[in-house]
Amino acid sequence: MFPMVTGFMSYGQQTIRATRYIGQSFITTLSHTNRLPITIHYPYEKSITPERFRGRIHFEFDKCIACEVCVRVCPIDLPVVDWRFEKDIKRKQLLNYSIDFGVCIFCGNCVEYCPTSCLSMTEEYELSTYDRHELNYNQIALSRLPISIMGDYTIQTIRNSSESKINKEKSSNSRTITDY
Amino acid sequence: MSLPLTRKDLMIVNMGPQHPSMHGVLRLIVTLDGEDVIDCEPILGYLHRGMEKIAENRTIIQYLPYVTRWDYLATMFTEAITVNAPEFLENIQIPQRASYIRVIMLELSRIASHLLWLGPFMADLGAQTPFFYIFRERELIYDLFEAATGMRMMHNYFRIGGVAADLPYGWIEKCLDFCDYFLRGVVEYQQLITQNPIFLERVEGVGFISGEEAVNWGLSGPMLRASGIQWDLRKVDPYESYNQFDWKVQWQKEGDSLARYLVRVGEMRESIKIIQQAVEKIPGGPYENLEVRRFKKEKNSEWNDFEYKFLGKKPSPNFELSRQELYVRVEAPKGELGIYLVGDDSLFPWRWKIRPPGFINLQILPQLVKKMKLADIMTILGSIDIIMGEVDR
Repeated sequence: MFPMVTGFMSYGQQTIRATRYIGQSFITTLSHTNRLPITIHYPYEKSITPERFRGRIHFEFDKCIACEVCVRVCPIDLPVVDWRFEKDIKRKQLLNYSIDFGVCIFCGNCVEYCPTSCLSMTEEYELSTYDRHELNYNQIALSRLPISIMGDYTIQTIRNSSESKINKEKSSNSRTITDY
Repeated sequence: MSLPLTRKDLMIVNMGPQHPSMHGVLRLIVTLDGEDVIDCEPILGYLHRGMEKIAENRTIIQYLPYVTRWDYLATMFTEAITVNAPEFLENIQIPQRASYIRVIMLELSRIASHLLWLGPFMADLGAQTPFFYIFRERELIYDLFEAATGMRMMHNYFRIGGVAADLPYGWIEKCLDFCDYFLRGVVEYQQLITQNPIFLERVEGVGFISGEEAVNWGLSGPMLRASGIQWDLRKVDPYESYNQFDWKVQWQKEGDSLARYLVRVGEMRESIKIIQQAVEKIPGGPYENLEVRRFKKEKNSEWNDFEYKFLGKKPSPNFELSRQELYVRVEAPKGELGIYLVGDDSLFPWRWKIRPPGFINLQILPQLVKKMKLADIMTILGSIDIIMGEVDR
């Protein structure tokens, strides 16, 4: 009889403790109901990439001296540098240059080590295609500048969702662009 | 096995490599007697990419983008060990500022790794909410990484002799903001998890490892410290500038899954402490020792001499590893991450042996899950904290 009573009491205490802790957890969860979402709706809203973002590589044909440093620092020797030695000027003449972005991992070694800074990283990261061979960019494609996120009218650029919400309330214009 | 069997025909269950809560592509062949686990055999190798062999025909700078694929949740540590090994081999000094930047990055990476341990661990136990909360904080760490290095996970930031680029303007303030925010986040996790009776029921006393066992199995990191051994390489074998900060080794003596949880949560707090001190004291000066990137050493050019050419720009890396060998280790979030490096007077390492913490810690799994229930496998496996990228390499 007596152990049963103590058993009931300890069970009751356990239940109360459990209820209290679970209630505490629910309060933590409920405290989040009063805040704005921290996610963004990607294809329609985009966050601005940082300055050092490593996107598609931009290449300036005229600056390149065909030294092939980019090939030597690349983990898989990816850039294809096609050059011919011109005897009359005693210099290497660059003919073609291409990088296959279907294989590139955007490690940025080539950009970092290029002695003439003819390579640079852009903010372009949406490189999906239906055919992977389309990602093999030659010097013409490499020299194209990406469409700036700021200039793209199909999306709204936001820094964080709370700010955009505030801006939305302020202006009747539904599209908000927040610059740095 | 001398376990009492209730039935003759044991059931052999194949857990993984596509099990939803299996961490990565680990496969466990579990022999079951009802709910009781009789035996467990881990099968590895589904993510083997030959990382050690790849290193043998890459220069260090070419190899650096690969290393973040070993332990893809604690990426900075793999980079740190990859540059530390040649640095120690050739006795290269790094500037104080670079050392501080490295410490900040490493500790941020430790927090990110522990966070992504915490979420799936709780999800394994059936608690989904922390999984979403940890991603909120981890996102901020990755934003910091992205601002400083250009990529969120595959940073390629550390270089022999320093780091690739200085911290951008305003980064330090952002980092301090994150520290303040994160301390509140940890409090929130502890409110949600630590006292939760359901959580305690599932982790207390599950997967017990005694201190002696932990040492004998060669465990390291939180696995070892949760068993009452105060062994942290940052204290025991100081590298970078960890001895300049005031922090404590987190440890527990219980040796069960709960102790490992407490050690990891405590380590996140300690990391924040280290980051705050490092950010406070970060010195100015160069962020990279460019001298190590010299094309070839001129014979008679003393440093700072009349004819000496200072390097202002990054030339092509032509870093030769001399004919020596050494073992270097860092305290990664999962444990002791080491490299055994053999140089051969060439640009490529002759041998690049990786000692991954996850691989060594995983050994103890069959012993831990024996005599436990089937549902405890996920708890124990979760508390070991493995990343198959580094287990299989």
